[in-house]
Amino acid sequence: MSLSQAEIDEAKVLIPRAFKQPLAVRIRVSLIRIFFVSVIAYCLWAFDFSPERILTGFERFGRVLKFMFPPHIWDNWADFSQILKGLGETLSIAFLGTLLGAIFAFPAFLSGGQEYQPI
Amino acid sequence: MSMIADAVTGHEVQETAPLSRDNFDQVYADKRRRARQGWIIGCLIFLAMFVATTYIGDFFKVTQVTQLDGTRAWRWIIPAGIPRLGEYIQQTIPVLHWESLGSDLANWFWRWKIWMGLLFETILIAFMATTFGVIGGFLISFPASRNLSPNGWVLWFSRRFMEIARTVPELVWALIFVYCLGVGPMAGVLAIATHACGALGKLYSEVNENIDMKPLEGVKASGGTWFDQIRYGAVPQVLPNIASYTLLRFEINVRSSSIIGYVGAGGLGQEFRTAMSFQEYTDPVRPVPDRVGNRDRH
Repeated sequence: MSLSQAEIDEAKVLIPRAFKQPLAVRIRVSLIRIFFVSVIAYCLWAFDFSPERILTGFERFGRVLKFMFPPHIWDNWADFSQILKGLGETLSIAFLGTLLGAIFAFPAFLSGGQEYQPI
Repeated sequence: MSMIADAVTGHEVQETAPLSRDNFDQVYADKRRRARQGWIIGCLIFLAMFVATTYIGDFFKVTQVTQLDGTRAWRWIIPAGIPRLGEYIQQTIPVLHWESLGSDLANWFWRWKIWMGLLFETILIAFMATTFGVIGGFLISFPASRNLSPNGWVLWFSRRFMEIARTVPELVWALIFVYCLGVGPMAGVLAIATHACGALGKLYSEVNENIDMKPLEGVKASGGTWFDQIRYGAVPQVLPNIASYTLLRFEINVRSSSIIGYVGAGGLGQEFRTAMSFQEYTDPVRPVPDRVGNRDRH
């Protein structure tokens, strides 16, 4: 089923807002768009997003990736133990931090929960 | 812990005889015993982890402190260190006198012009990073959701990409980008955008996995391609959630862009660093990251 142009025109007269937003809405939307685009454009200019800078950036990023692959494997215990120590400290911080946070947060459920309030 | 207990009991219960009126007490006692065993095992594992982490983390380390009368004494490091937190907060409060209020305030906000400029730059970095992150995360969230992905390989690669992008912290991305692009806000924008792309892509793809698939089937039935299905079937359903996650992410990004200057990637961080290294604790730029957004990050 396809509509004829006359039917579409008739519908446009009958329910204009199905085809076009009111003027105020259109102005607001376009103002927001202009604002966004101009902020982005200002940032691109102020932060100096030049193509050659991005290109050299990619080149150096490739160098960084080349450092990472193949990954370094520690062949002696002295180096590896230091890494293990750091790893252990990281896990300890995460575990103890969570535990302490839970301990300090636990009493708060009594005072914070709505159902536990005396009144 | 409860998981261990459940796993143990759940595993063991299957082996016992079916429950009847005669053996109820027996089955119940067995079940209780096994639950208790699981609980004890869980507690022991927990205790072992606690002891190990406190040992590694020097939690109960003993240190020498100077007491009020000048003598030295051995104390645990935490009770000895907590009062210094108060000292630190005290030092951030400026000295203001009513008689010389104007000059004191001027002294307090001595670099306010630079700070306002940097604050503006910080917000712009967050804005731009959010924009880029939203574009990237939105585009990658569709191939990364299980129900929309065209095939397994695309799903796998887009998910791994997002994981790499979001598990590397913003500060580390900033270090890498500062090396690549030089000192300046552009490195910060790309660093935060990369992290936000991964984090947002994850959240968006979870939203995508919860949608109703019927509109997509309708589009497919009327001859739509994969892109049509996404555009007309999925996007209208997910837009409200995407908007809310985007606003949350903007808040998080303002906070991280205020710290990213620590490694030279633009924004207020550079000033924090100078103020802290000069021990000018009263500089008002310092509490800004707490003020602009202290929501938990995802």
